[in-house]
Formats: sequence, C-alpha cells, structure tokens
Amino acid sequence: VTSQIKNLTFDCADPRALALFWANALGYDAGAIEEDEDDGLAYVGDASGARPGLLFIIVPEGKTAKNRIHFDVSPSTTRDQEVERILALGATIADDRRLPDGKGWVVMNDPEGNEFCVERSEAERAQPGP
Amino acid sequence: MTSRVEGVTFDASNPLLIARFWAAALGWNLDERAVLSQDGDDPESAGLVDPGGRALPFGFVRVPEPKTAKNRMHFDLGADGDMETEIARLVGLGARTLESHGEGGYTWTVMQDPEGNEFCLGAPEQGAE
Repeated sequence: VTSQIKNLTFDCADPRALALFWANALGYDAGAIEEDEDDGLAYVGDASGARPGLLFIIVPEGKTAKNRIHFDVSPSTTRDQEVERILALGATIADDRRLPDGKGWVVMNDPEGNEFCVERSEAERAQPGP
Repeated sequence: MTSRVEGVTFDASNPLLIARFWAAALGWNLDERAVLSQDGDDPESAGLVDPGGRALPFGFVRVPEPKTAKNRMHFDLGADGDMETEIARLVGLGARTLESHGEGGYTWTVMQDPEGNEFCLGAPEQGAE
C-alpha cells in the first residue's frame, strides 16, 4: 500500500487569479479552470491525467515565510525567454542567479509571492560549455 | 511556449531523513546521484525518483532556518488502499495526524511529514458516488 499524488494545493488570496497564472505558466488549459466561489476555490486538471491537478483555496492568512516547498521549472524555449514570458503573466524576480557563462537559474515569485525557480531548458543544458 | 515542472524541492533540516519518509510514503526510490556531500548519514541534499517515471522527482536541500509557518503549497495524496491502514502506515513512518474533514462525499486527513510539511490524504467516502 502506498499513496499517490493527486493534486498540488495552494493556499491563496485570489484562487481564480492564481489558477490563471499557473495554468498559463505550466500549460494547463486555462479555459478548463473550474471555480466554486462559494467555497473559495479554483481547480484546473491536466487533460492528459499525467500531471497532478492544481487546486487553489482561499485562506484568511497571508504568506509570512519562504515556502519550504517549491517548483523547479524547465522551459520549452529558453530560460531567458521564459523568464520574460512569466514576468508578463504577473510574476516577479526574487533572485537572479544567472551566471556570465550562461548557467544558473532565476528565483521568481508568483503573483502571491510563492517562490519557484526557472532553470535552463534541456537544450541549453545539453550545449557544451564555453 | 510553456514551462514544465521538472522537480519539486523541499527545504529540509535533515534531507536524508525526510527523503526516506517520502520514498516510503510514495513507494519511490532514493536517487543516489542526488545524495551530495555524503557525510555518513547526514548529506546536504537528497533526491527521489518515481520508479514508474510518471511523477516529478523530489529534491531535499538542507537550509539553516527551521519551518516557521504553514506551507502555502501542499500535496494531496490518494491512498491506494484502505484509508485507515494508510494513515497508520504513514504515522509509522514518522508522519503526524492533525485533523480530519469530510465534505461533499470526500474525506481527507491533514497530516505532516517528519519536518512538519503539511499534506492531505484523501479517499472518497465509501458508498459515495
């Protein structure tokens, strides 16, 4: 007997807005976001079923500390293009750890301050170093 | 033009201890390549891989600061057997049970891993559609 991961759940102030951000960031179908305003939640599933569902639940308290859990995401384009795209979705840069030799990553905050890291793409990591 | 989640990283006080908990909880394997700065039983980081290749790898990295607040993100797990049996198994692995809820044909128990990271274990209520 074991347990399986079903959903990743975010505590938040604005379930719909955060669901939209993460659906667009990760390529879930933003048109398929289900909302229950009475219960203060929003949910978006992965159509293929291969990835966990994303559930956003309104909570009264704000974020007070760095999360102990974060995503590391890898772009389908390049790290720098993806950082720009995600900035336009409403994220901010918390700590730019990009190095002159092209390696490194960017620590970003989602619109409610949840930390995540944008790594280099697989193609970028496969390139030989300078 | 999107990002895919490549992994999930946990801040940890004892990376190997918490990695072993999640390995046993999920039926995953310790990723030996991710055990860095091996110093006996107390490495600076540890990693897990899903042997089925489906789920995201988990990494555990030592940080100096302790957990001070409820995490804003948590995993919802589904027991693939009897719920009470699974809760007892997870408690035996070092988890704590906080509270249980039931709503809309769904029951879940809020738990914490050995370092206090919250997660939920859920199962549809028996007999519910």
